[in-house]
Amino acid sequence: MTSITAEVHGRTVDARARGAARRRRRNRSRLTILAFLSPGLVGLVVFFLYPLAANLYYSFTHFDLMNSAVWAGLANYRFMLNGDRQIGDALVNTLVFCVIAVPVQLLFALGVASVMARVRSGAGIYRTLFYLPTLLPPVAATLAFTFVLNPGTGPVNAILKALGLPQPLWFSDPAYAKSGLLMLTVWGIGNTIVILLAATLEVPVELQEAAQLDGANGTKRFWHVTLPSIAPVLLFSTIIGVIQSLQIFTQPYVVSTIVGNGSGTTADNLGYPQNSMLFFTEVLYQQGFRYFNMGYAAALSMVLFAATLLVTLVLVRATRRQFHGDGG
Amino acid sequence: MRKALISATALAIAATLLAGCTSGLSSSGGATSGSDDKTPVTITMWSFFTGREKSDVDARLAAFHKQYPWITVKQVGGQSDDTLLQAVRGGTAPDLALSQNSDAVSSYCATGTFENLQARIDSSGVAMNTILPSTKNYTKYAGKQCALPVLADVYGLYYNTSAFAKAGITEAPKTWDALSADAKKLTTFNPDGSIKTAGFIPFLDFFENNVSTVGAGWGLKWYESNGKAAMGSDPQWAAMFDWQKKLVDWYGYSKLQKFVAGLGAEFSAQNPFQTGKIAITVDGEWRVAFAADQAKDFSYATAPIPNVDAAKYGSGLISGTTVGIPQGSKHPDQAWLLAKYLATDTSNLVDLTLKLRNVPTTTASLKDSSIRTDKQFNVMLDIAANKYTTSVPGTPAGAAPRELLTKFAQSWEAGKVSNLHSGLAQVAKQIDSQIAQASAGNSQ
Repeated sequence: MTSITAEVHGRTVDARARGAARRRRRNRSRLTILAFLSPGLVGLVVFFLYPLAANLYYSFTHFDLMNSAVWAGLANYRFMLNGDRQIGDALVNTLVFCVIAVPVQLLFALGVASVMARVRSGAGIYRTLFYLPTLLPPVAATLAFTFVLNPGTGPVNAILKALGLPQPLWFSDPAYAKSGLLMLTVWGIGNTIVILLAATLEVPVELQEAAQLDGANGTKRFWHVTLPSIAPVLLFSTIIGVIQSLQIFTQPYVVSTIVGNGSGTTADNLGYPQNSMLFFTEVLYQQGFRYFNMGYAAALSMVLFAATLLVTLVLVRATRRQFHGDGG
Repeated sequence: MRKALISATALAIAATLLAGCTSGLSSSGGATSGSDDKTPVTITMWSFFTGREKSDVDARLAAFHKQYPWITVKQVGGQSDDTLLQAVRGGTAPDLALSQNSDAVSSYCATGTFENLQARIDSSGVAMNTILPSTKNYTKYAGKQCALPVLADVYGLYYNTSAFAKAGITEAPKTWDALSADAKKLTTFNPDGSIKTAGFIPFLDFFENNVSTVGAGWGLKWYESNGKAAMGSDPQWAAMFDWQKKLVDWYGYSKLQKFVAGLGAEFSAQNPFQTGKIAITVDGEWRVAFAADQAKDFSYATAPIPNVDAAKYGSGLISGTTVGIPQGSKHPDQAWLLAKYLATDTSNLVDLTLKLRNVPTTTASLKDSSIRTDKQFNVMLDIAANKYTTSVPGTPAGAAPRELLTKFAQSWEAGKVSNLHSGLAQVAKQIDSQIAQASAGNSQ
């Protein structure tokens, strides 16, 4: 009996020792992982979490960067809902542009990528041609578009006139301004084209061949083989497109400044013509960096952050089932 | 317990970091060495001047150095109000700054961007009554004189005398209706119906045509005595917009937009007034110098803008350059000596007026006969001296009221506003909200 107890006790001690050793190993392993992760974690805290927390705090204050922030509770958010009459236009413009621009950009990029995947000779030249606009600084590209689409002196309207077609005022007309902006962003979609082209070329050839043997024509193969295979890349491009559309700033800012009748000051023209090019980020810029209402600008950026996060989450959840079958 | 301790430490760190960021800038300026201190020092002055104009100002700074040999001034040109504000907020402010945005000075006063100069004015005995009273609106706010005017811009009517003679018009329009009638006579069309030359561009966001410059001839009240925006309550606002819309409609909005889109840039040699594309325009006094430089053979004349009140004809809008000591100035006493020199020294103002072709801002310099060298420029000097000449009242919201009105004007002239009166009332409400929002943090 005693020897049995001793044996059991011995086993328990051994088990405890082994457990402690395991825990030590696990802890050491965790510390090693943490050590390797630490540069990234420090970056995350310093450059994302802290600014995010500070921004959240400032969104509840009146802050002009000159004097100490004054706690204002929900005043900035109330001003957004009741006082700032520009925000409605900015919100509508941003959402409309996002809803139209993202599908158009994706369809265009997908179409070009699909055609380029089939090109046998000169593929490099076509890829370079479609990617080149991406290399141009957005300000320069936008300036070029304002000259090309100038209603009085631009070549586009000159051609339309020669053909006897109506000549829109483009960036001077709120009905056409967003179309001009859409053309500009579609023209510079080279990055997405390259990503989708790479994904299309990665689709297993044996799958395409099997579908072809089963009698699937080109459209069916694209719909049932290519599209499901590149769906994760499409989702990635959609999310990036949505984020870029919600945060669009440079192009409408430059267009409004250049086209806005030359009335001298940039701020007078922000959103020109008639607020049709006033986007959410421009109101944020105006309030934060022209009027120095930093508290309100922080509140606007929190709303933009929340909206972007929400749209991204909805997109990921909605498409999860497609990629993982049962939603796992 | 350990978790609670970690949470408390994290909260404390976060609170410290946040507090560190909210401390704002120190309200005191730089080291005060006293005005009697004659230790050699180099101070920095930021201005928006570039090229020839910067050289002209440098010459004045050399003259200042002769008068105050222990102070050397380094002028950094090409600086905008935006860069100035960023520098002040970033703690790298210059010792002295010239601002060309007179809309903004009231917000600089309210936020402390510019130091309140009143104590320095009192102790150095600057006679404020020698400075043009019409400049007070843009140099003083809520009892704080935080800037002084250094030259001003006044706005008048420029008209093409050849085009006038050809159309049989003998004098500049004195009423807005006369201006409309002249504009129609002076406009010519291409065979396809597009505008070839325009009599006058009635857009309120075209070059120097804006609610402030044109509004000076409509006797507009910007704010009620209780501080609320008066666009909805003062009928003159609606009268001005009505007049403007009638002329826009006469041209056709689309035709006018297309014409404007094809015009040369305001400050280039292709300026459409100088090239004869526009016969009448509202412009600043600087156009005299530009026309002399860029369009030597161009024949034009100047006049005050029309006025709804005949007794006030001859007046106009005044705005212009201001000088202030930014928060964080390292040599505020020496900067004050320079500010005082630039704003009040008659010989300095006369010399700058002759070189830069802006309007001087003291009564003594304005009366100096040596600046009356050009018939067209003299009209601008007379507008500056007119007792009814006004400037736009400043608010803590800076340029926001004018910008909101400009946006309203853009919608209105395009025919997108169905009810002018309720539209103006809405703009007034919007301006009130913006001012309230901007004022909220300035109570300390």
